[in-house]
Order: sequence, then C-alpha cells, then structure tokens
Amino acid sequence: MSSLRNALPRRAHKERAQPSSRKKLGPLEKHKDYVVRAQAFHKKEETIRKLKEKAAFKNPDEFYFKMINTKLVNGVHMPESQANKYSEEELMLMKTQDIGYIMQKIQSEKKKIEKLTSVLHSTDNQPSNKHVRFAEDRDEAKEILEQISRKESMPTIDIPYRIKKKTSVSYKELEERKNRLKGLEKLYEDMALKKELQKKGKKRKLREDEIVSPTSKPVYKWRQERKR
Amino acid sequence: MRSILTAQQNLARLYSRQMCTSTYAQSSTRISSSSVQRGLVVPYRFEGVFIAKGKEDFICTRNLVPGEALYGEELIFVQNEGGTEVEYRVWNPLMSNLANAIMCGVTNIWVKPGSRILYLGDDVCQITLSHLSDLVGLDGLVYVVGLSDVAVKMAEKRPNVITVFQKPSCIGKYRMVVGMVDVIYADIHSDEVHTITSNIIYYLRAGGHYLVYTRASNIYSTTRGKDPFAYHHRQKEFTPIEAVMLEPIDREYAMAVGGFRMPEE
Repeated sequence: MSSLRNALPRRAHKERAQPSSRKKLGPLEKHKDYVVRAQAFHKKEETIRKLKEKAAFKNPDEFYFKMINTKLVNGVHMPESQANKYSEEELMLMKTQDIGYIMQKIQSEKKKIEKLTSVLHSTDNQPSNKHVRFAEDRDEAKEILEQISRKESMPTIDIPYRIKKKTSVSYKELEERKNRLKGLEKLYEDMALKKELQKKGKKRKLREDEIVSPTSKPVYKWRQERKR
Repeated sequence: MRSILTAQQNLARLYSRQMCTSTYAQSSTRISSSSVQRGLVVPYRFEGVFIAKGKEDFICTRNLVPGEALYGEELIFVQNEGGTEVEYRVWNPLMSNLANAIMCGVTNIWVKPGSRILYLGDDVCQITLSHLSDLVGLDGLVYVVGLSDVAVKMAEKRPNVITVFQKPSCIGKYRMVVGMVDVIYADIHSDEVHTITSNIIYYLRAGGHYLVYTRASNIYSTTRGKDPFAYHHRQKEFTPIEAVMLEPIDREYAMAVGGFRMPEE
C-alpha cells in the first residue's frame, strides 16, 4: 500500500550537475535549456532565410515616396539631414539655453574652487614672493643672511605617508577643477562670439596685420553704430 | 559671579598649557572629526598658530569660543592624548591679510598669547580680528578701533576684545579706554599714514612692534616722499624689520613689520 511505502523515506534522486573541472562554463545544460537555445537559433535562421528570399525577388521598378529625399549610402538608407529643422528664433533660443547651462556649470565650478581653496592653503610650498628685510649695518645683514640659510636647512615635520597622500589627492582635485574652469570659460567665450556674429550689425573680420595680440581664432570688429 | 571667574581662570590655564614652542614640535595631535578625517594638527612657526593636514591642508588657530564659526569657516575637533577635545578654526589667507603674511613667510608676527594688541582699521574685517583674539588668548587683550558694528557684535562673545567705535585718526578720543599695547596691527588705507604713526607713538610701548598693511610701492620706492615712515626712520624711532609682499593672493600690497623705540643692543 502507498501509505506503508510513504512511511519509509526513499532517497531522492538528484539531478546531474556540472563536473567540477568544467565549473567555469556555467551550469550543465538540460533538455529544457537546449530547447530554448534551439528555438532561438531556428527563429533567427528562419528570419534570415525569409529576408534573403525577399531580396532575391526584389522588383527593380519599385517606387516609394520616401525615395525622393533619401539615398542609399553603402547599402544603408540615409534619411534626409536633420539640420535645418528649426527656425531662426528657435535656434537662438536653444543657443541661449546652451550658453546658460555652460554659465551654470562655470559658476558651480567657481564655487567649488572657492570652497576648496578656503581649506587648501599650500602650507608646504616655499613662498614665491619677495621678502624685504632691513638691517642696520653690514654685520646685521650678514646675520640675517645666516638666519635665512639656517631656516632653509631646518627639518620639516614628519607627516605620515597616508596623510600626505590625502593632501596631494586634494590638491590634484583643485588643479583639475581649475583646468576645467578654464576650458568651460573658453567654450563660453566661443559660444558667445558665435551668437554675437549671428545678430544684426555690420562687422568685419580683421586681417592678420591688423590684429594687435595674435590669437589662433579670428577676431571681429563691429562698426560703430549709435544705439537708441 | 565667582563661578564665572573660576571658569575663566580654568580656561586661561588650559590655554596656556596648549602653548607650544615656535620650532617644529614633535607633539602632534590626531584629529577624529568628520570634516578633517584622520589628519594631523601640528604647531606652525608661531605660538598659537597651527597647521592641519589631512584631506585638507590649512592654517588654523585654536578657537576661543568653542562651537562657533563666525563667517562660515570650518571647525575641526582634535582628540588630545589626554582624551579632551580641542577645537580649531580655519584661518583663510585669501580673506585675512595676517594669514596671508604668515603664509608668505613673515619671520615674526610678535603676537603671542598674553600680549596686548591694538587693531586699527576702518571697516574692520572680523576675520583677522577673531583670529588675533584666538591667538592672544584669555590672558591678552585686543583693542579694536574702527567704525564697524561687526566688531562690537564679536566682542559680546569674546571676553578679550574691547571695541572702540571711533575713527583711528582721533587718537585723543579713546585714550581713556586703550592702554599701552605690545603690538599694533594697522589695516588702514595707506594714504592716511599720520593716523598710524600717531597711534604708534601714543599707544605702543617702547620695544613694541607694528604690523602695517600698505602698498608695495611704499616699500620699494626710493623717493623720500612715498615712504610713509621716512621721517620717523630718520629720527631713529621706528626701525623697519621686514616687509613681505603678499604676492600671489594680493598683488601690489605688502605687510611691513617694524619696531618702535627698540632698545640699543
């Protein structure tokens, strides 16, 4: 009877697993995993076969209205260019928004640099400024010179290595932020110049010999016009 | 009343024990606060001035009014070996001329814990003032002469600051309040030289020192007219000791340090 058989627990049969030498290939594939893989493969095969069939039976006189403005470049359809989809005012608006965004980023970088410089005074660096000392006579001047040389040979504080690392990391961050600010400001100037050029107003490009300070970018001069 | 006095005395004693020598001392205290994580506070060249190194690297003074940051600067807490907590305040050289001068390598600022300072300024900036008061400690005094209400507010919290709401040029008007001082720190527009000189002669003790924030051209030019203290140099009353150009941060300005009626050696 089934109830007596259920009294003695029978050992459950375990599924075969991936052998330990092949563990890096993942779990052992069973029939259900094979079925999933095979179906995906055959589906792809079928699609490719159908597409090849369609290409073989292509009508050379086919016409679609989108063919008027598109072209085939290396076998790929190139849709018409997205360039002049916006009107002048929309373009100007978008350019102001771009400039505004860059300005935002410039200001946030400036604030961050300010915060960093308030706690990163470079205490280790030798001061690069002039230091004038006054002496009564030559003897005192010699004394002062000796004092200076003695100070320079004085030993510096022993700071553990990990703290030095932390400080240098902070200084690097400050450097990077300053460079980033420079790049952003350059970008802002370029964009502002382009925007000015698009506005009305008679302007001309200065020739090489007229430019006062040589720059790689072109320099423009606007005509003097009295504004209202 | 007596409890306040004893509390003040205890604080003063604590502060005097914190004084370290001006050479690079071996004793350094570790920091365990969130702002400067696991760094080091080491005394710098002058008494009362420290450098903190960690993720940040700055110059600081010990806070006289613990728990209060006056102008939004950072406070750091340090665990002493004894287990007590000490608080330091960041001293920003970009905002304070004195810190700038210290970073630029002034040999001596002559301000020690326990000394008396006369701070002259029009539109007094509270930053240098607060740090001077920290440096000087509860034993010393800072007299502030200037037309600024910010200084008056600060004096309410700090017991060693005495404000005189008066123009620094009227030396007679505050002679009842201000006594003889050891150091005069002048942050006045350098064209009004006579205010500085008259204050020095009136209030600075013999053998005292002055720190003046002037234009760099005053130090370098050779024409007699420009040097503000030329007359007094000739009279041998003022001896110039040094002048530091506050260069990368503050072009065209310098901090001139000199002595008044220095005793002949």
